[in-house]
Amino acid sequence: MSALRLRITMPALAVCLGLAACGSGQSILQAGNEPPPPTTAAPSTLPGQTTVPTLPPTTLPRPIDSLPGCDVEALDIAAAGGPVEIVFWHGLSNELKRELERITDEYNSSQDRVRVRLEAQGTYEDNIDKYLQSNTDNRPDLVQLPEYAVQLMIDTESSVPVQACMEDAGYAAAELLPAALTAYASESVQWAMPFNVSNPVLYYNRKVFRDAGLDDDKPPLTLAEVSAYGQQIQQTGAASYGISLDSAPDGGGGWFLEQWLAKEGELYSDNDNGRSAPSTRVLFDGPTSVALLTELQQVVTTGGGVYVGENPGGQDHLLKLADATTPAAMTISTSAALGPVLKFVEGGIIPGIGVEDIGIGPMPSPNGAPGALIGGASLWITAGHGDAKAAAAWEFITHLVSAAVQSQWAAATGYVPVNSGALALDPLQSVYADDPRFRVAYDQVAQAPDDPTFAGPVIGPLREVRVTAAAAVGKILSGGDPATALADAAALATDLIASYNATRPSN
Amino acid sequence: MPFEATVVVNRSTMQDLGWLNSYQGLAVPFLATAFGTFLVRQVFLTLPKELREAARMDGLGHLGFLREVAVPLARPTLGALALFGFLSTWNQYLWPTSVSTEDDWNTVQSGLRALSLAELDKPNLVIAGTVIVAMPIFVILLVFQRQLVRGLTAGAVKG
Amino acid sequence: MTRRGPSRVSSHAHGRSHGRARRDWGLAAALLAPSLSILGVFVLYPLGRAILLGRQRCDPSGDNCRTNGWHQYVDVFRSREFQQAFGVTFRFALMTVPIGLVLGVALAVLVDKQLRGMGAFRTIFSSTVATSVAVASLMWFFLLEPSVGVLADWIGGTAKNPGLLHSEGTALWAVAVSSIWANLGFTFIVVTAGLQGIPADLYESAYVDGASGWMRFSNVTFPMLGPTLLFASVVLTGRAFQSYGEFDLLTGGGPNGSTTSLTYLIYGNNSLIKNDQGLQSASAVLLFIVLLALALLQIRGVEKRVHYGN
Repeated sequence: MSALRLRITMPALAVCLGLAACGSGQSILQAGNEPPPPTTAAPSTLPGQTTVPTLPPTTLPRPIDSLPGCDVEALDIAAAGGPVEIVFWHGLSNELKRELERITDEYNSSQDRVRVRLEAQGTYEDNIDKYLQSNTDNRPDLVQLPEYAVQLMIDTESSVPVQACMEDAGYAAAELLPAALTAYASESVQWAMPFNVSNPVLYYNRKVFRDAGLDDDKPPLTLAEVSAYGQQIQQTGAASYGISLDSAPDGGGGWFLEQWLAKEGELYSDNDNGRSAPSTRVLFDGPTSVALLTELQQVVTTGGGVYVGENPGGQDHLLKLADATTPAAMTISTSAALGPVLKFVEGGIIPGIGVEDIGIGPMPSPNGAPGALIGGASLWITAGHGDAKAAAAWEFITHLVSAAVQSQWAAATGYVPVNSGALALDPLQSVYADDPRFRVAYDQVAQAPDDPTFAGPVIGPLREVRVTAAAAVGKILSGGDPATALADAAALATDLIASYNATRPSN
Repeated sequence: MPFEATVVVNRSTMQDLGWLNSYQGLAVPFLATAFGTFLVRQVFLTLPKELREAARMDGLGHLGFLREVAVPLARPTLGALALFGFLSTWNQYLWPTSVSTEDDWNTVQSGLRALSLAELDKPNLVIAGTVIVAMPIFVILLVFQRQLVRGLTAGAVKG
Repeated sequence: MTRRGPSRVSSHAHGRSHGRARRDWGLAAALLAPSLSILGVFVLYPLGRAILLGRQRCDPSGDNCRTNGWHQYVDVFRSREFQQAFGVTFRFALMTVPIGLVLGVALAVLVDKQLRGMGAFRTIFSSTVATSVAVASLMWFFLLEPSVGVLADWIGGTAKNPGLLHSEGTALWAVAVSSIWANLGFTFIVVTAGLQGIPADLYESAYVDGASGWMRFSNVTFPMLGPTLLFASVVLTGRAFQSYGEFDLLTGGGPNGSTTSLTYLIYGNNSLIKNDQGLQSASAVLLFIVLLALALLQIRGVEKRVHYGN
């Protein structure tokens, strides 16, 4: 019996002993890299091996002729023989998914030129993974990808830039939101078409605000106010917590940090957020970030806030408002959650709370500055599937960003309309007039100044960089030292950028 | 043999074969397993040599012996192996998620993952999904309990 | 191990024609071909390919790779991330395997009596076999999630805020509980079968010798279950080291990497190496080596035991 137990524990012990001795303390991203040479010998290049790249000093405008072209008339010819079928991968879920399905069905039955087949891949991440793993034949004709995938997509060299189609079709982009276009443009090329634009807004429970003696028409704008409100909410017993905070990469951990730095007028990465030349390092470990996250930490420690964790499902921070026993009164979440949240509340899931009790305010920040970065996702046309498919994808894109469709889309979801014409059309016109909550995200975009900080970072491994930033925010919100956590994360993020740049196809 | 170690390469093989989103892609890697081969071989080794000689007298060749004698005698093991294979493929999670890019090719497990991602705020819906996915195996458990036990314990024989 | 092959051949009459032997070989090859080609294409080839890929670093689309050499394996193994994930995986196995075995044995011994109604219990205890990893994980998710979970409300404290799955100290345990539960049916079935294989006269003689219930268990049941337990532990260890779905659905590798297992480091949503096939392959091959080493150690355990038994 003891011999048996020994059999099981012996290997365990052996490996554990091995473990303690063999850690290098280095990041896995350093694996395979030669240690820096002690002398400055001339770099030798072995056959088939690339040297550490030297990046061009500035990002030159990329000539559109050097990229896959777009022939919109190819659809007219192809559609004469029956509708052209295109496959469209998206990463939406819930009410957002259903609204996209409704719009697509309507489009399919409204004309005979294009048939769109929707394929939900799960999350944006699944969408990116599947796209990267697939070869040209297995990629969809059209794919919806989030703002953090811009540089990654450019470097796959697998897309027809929408600019090629815009030029070929003589498409007037005048009605499209300039900030949204800018987010998906770099090197003077419009790579993708913004479709669903969102930004973080404050969700709050008006009833709790009233119970706590707060003015429920005046949501907090600064982090100091968030703390003061939170204290009052706790002291009056109106709710268990003030604000609920998460540290998801696409939420409170990564995305919000990008937003907050922009609101503070700070760059996220060097070379103007990677827009004047490829970024080589991140800047989120500076004094502004440390002060910002110290204040955010205090919101949890002394401001009545509650940290709900890494929020893998993306809903924990919102669900905390619906918690039956220890609810919070506020949270920050994407404006795209507004439609789903109202549907959720309408179902009577929180006793005594109706849809009118959900308040929406601008995203609070250290100094209460207005404005927001463009979040959400854009539409990319896959190259190599023939002119007809690309033209069909383009035609569907023009439908999705038309004033009429954007009006329905924004009214049903909470996304910001990318077409200003949508503002003058119902249903959005009356929704914005009757329900100012839907307008908050739009106003944040409109108030953003036109400078590089508000154009957002373009970094190849931005998703992974976000994961490291999110890990730091998570540590800080659970009581870690802000300066240390941010410095560690920034070092890792800089490793990520270096690794990425070392295997870039252009080098 | 941990299949998890080879998912990356196998997925790209499937892509080269054009087998993404297909039954071949989902199933072919699991049509032959070292475990199954080992198990059936163990049974065949227990067949007495006299049986083979007798079959030869009756004019049975190798294939005839296999069809008329060996396989029928190994039937309990084959049944157990079939159930074991059914269970383990039914429960696969990473592989079906990797080789399908269309909803139509979600297996129950990857479909359940998709459902949970799409409707996480509707626990009732997701739980209904989990019950539906668990039911067939539960029925199999009730009907084929003995074979299932044999299938799961088959590996212990070699110990 | 006996080498029966040659002696068997020599016992055969030598007069048989070479043509017949060749036909036999042809038939054997034809019968083996399907299995061998599948094993070759989907097991051996990818393993070899992964071993070679593990020396490289690749761009996200995998088209552009740079070969660094074998020392990349050493670097990966020694890296912070791998070490942490290795530790997590190891702790996960140490939590799930022994507890799973103890619970499985306890339940099996409990119902190993020829009493009325035991069949129903047997079915109930076996029933978690019917729950796949996705089913089990989602059920536990909705039990433990603070905002909706019944268990979270009952337990209170950490379970409520931030929640067992969201607290660094408890997340791995919470995932382990789900995994132990999901594997309990398997362990129960295997151990029950093992118990039924123990000859009744052993118990009778122990009973005659005046052994108490506990002594009968520790002197008869437990030693006789040896091979069964080793088999179960090999399978459970393998499963623990290859677990992926639990982590994907329950914690997403968090909080703070405390449930980032090796498989999750390689394939998970927040993986830092997911877009580098080289690092992915190196980690996967290392995982394979670890599993192989563990299996060999356990099999050696079996052989020693058999030897002791003589």
